[in-house]
Amino acid sequence: MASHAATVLGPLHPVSYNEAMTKFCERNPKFHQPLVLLGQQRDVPRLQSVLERCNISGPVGLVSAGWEEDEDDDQWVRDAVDVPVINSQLYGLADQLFQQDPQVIELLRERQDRLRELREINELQTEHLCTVARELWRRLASHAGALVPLQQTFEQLRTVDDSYLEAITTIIVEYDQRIAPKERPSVLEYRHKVLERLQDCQALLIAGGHVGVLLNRLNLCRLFQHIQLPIIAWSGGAMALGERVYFYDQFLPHTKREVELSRRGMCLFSGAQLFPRASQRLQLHDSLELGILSRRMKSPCLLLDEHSEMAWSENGQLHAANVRYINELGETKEWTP
Amino acid sequence: MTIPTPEELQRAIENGDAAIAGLLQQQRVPIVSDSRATFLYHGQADSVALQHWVYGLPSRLELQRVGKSRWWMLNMDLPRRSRIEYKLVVRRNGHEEWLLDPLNDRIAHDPFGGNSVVHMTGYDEPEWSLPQTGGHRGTFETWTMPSRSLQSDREIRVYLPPRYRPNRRHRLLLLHDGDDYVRYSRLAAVLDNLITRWEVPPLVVGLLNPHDRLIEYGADRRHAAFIVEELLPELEQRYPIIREPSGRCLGGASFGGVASLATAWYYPNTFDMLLLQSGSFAFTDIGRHTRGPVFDPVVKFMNRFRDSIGKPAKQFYLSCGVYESLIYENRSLVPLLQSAGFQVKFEEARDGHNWENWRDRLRNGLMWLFPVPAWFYYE
Repeated sequence: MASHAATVLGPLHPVSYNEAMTKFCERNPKFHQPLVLLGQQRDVPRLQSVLERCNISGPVGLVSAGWEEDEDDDQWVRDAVDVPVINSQLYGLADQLFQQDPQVIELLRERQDRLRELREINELQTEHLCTVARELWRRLASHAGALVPLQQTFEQLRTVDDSYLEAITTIIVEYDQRIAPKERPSVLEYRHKVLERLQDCQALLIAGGHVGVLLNRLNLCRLFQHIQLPIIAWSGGAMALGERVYFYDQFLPHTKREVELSRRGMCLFSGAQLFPRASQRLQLHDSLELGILSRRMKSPCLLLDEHSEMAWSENGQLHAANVRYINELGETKEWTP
Repeated sequence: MTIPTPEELQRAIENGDAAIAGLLQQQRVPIVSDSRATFLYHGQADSVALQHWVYGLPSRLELQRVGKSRWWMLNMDLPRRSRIEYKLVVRRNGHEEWLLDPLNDRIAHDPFGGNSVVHMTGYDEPEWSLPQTGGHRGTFETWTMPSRSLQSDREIRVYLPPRYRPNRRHRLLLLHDGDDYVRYSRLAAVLDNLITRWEVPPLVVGLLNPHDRLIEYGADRRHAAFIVEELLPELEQRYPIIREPSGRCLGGASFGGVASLATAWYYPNTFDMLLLQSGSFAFTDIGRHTRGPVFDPVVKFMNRFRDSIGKPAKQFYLSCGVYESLIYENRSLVPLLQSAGFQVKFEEARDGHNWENWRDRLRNGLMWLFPVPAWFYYE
């Protein structure tokens, strides 16, 4: 039934899937340094082999701000690589900044409250549209008349996501102006301390964890405006570097939640939406759920799991292994660039 | 892989040992196809029966001999997503022997030994309960304390979680039959996985083990006094745990569920959360119960509790297998708790009164009782 709907609906995106992916491969990374995106690492880390391939033999910096208070709990990373690891302290140093300059945290909390209100409204809209999309998708098997309304629903979902992102960005920019990180001494000192820690590093490792917290700290520090290093990011860390960050867990007990657009990412690459821990968080055998997810997204959906790796070399060439994508039928397929 | 039908199995058996061996070579026995299961036994016997613990079915179902062969077979309906524990009862020369199914390597262990297990279509062992290679692991500490209330020394084991921080206050889960949870429900792997994935916060878990289980866990006030008046202060002195009811959960399975509920009822405002799995919550509305003398104090307590609920906790997570005789008692408790204004989560499974059923519900229970914003974490 679901496959029937997917077939009738036709291509996933305005341009063909292949075209979209070719663009994704060609125009990345925006960041002119090697960029490696990996699936989760904690259980079976492959960081050392990635460092070797990138010819990195010196110290590496680690951003583990997503682990919050556990930022320093990085022994497993140190054990996984043969080079010295310097923790950036992006989270801990921000805590010091908040103590020193409480106005920053007050403003961030105020911003959080406004974003929360907005999110609640967006949840209502998205939930409603996804319910409609599911129902129309099912009806399409027996009622051809459901096709146009279903296409319109997907269009609405994409429009809602766009408007929501715009509204979030407006709020973030407004508070950014109020915090004025470029001039505020406490933030400048924070950035200086972080950059000082990373000054001898040959590459930057970015761990996952709480992606919202990670993005907040990366933004506050403006890290990528001030360093140009090869980057190796995994799981939530990889997610944070794309254009958009979506939260998802279709297996979470007690709550039925739709995939939720969170905010703009760091935009170090564009043209594809990453879903780390896909096997644990997405219903990969449910073509209806995958179909709805992929048709809502503006870019092709790439799924990352434990052994997944995507690496752009300095000259922009992309190599990928164990990465899957969601095709037009709501199925997952191995992806080769 | 094609799943053979009972008729194909029968034909293969009639065609000789090589034919049936060939057919079974790549099959898991019992053979499961959608909502039917075929149990097989091979050996000399006068009769063979399936002994199971599914409440509502005759507890023994006879396997039929296939022709004059040494093969015995039973094909039966079992609902999808069921997980059934069983033994084979083989009778020879007037003697009967209870066996693990020799053709089935799937075994669930419990304090009485173990049972063979059949997984029906749609049941999958939860991946979050499997021990992971690498990754973070909690540690255990064991110590002994004297108990005035129980008039004996008690050995306490404590699980300290991954990301345990002496300078942070942790939430506490106290579990009855704690060592059995570790041995038979893979508690350590479950906690390690859930905590590592940020699905539950880093909990300190106190593992309680009884000396005389049916007495101590049968709504015994001395046991409750031991927990609240002696053990909790000791734990608070030894570990950085939240010293408020909002940070404490008490739980257990079967009689451990009764002990949890009774302790929280005798000492209101001590635990905000209760984790009650297949609680032996026997009660009577009229007349005498028929569950035997060991249930006398339980029924007495449950009748009093049902009469006057009090405020044992704020949040109750209850689970029970639909194949348990206790399903009625557990279901009955839900509206009672809800009507008293408590938050209640009740979950049923197509399973019985056993440790793997309790294991399979731990993620939902702990995630509901100890919510963290897992949605935001991608580690």
